[in-house]
Amino acid sequence: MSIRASSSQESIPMSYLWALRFILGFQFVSAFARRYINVPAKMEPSSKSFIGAKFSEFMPHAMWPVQPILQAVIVHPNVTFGFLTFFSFVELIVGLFLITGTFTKLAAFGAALLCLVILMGAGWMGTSCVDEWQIGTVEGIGAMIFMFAGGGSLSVDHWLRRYFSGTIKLGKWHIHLL
Amino acid sequence: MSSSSIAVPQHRNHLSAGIVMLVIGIVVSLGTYQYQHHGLWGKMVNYNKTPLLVLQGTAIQGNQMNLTIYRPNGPDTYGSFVEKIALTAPNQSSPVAVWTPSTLKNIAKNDIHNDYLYERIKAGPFGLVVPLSAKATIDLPLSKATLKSLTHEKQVKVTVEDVSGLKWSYESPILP
Repeated sequence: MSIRASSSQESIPMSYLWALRFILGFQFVSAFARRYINVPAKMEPSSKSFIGAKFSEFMPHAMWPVQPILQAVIVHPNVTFGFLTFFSFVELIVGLFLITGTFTKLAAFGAALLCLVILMGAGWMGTSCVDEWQIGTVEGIGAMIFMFAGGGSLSVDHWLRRYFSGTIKLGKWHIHLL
Repeated sequence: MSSSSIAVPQHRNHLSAGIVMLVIGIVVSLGTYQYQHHGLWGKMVNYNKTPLLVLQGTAIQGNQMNLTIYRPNGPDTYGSFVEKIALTAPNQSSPVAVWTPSTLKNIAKNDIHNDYLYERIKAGPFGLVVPLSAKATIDLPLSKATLKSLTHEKQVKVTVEDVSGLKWSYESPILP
């Protein structure tokens, strides 16, 4: 029915993105689960597995402004622990929201920001491949796409929309959260 | 949104969103690829592969050497291991001081001043263990004979060697 005589299809069904939304969300949920369920020692500052040490390892070649932030964080144990706890719970919420399609665009924004920070901090790492760079770019750009696309019909947003438009006004900006 | 939409403004919005995403995607990925890996031009690097010890800040003062070791490169999971430290004066063929595993393993904890909390340099059973991102200044006392042979020198070459034979050197000033 299209009036454009275009040979390539410019629209795809939202359902094609569900699998991608699931795995993106699971990356974040599993990051939380590794620390709090699989290997709780990762959150134990006195343990050899303490994940705070990773902040130290990212530091040498991290990009500005992540490098000075890491440098400040790793000399204060309480800040390290607070930072780590905060990050972990943000990851859990972002991950669950992406999987379920709850406030999809907002969650995708959070995911894209997390990926950008991880990319700028650890993108130089990977002993035999450019592992962390691949993780940061693919996940970050994947998340960015959901900031525009939203959740589709298999999402909590689809149901939420009955009660809430999902748009907030911030000055002259209209921000779509769903 | 149906694919049969004929609303032109909607189509324009989709197009500009696509362009925004594409531009951000290209800038972020290629920018970090070049910055972190030199993947687009220059020689490609992997800082996470081979250890590098930076000795900048090392100085001889009084009757000891304050050896500064910082490891910005190499694997995050293991190593590296310092097995030998030597001091070479400019006009002398043999080193004026050498530390080997038997002396390095006995360096007291209090003589290793670490800058950071989580990745720390420590004495292991066969030398110094230097994890990625660790930085410390290590107090190494100099013998009377070593001090005597350095009397008229302004600087001395410090060489640190790891278990695989990799070596790093630094011209250390001799402070009055």
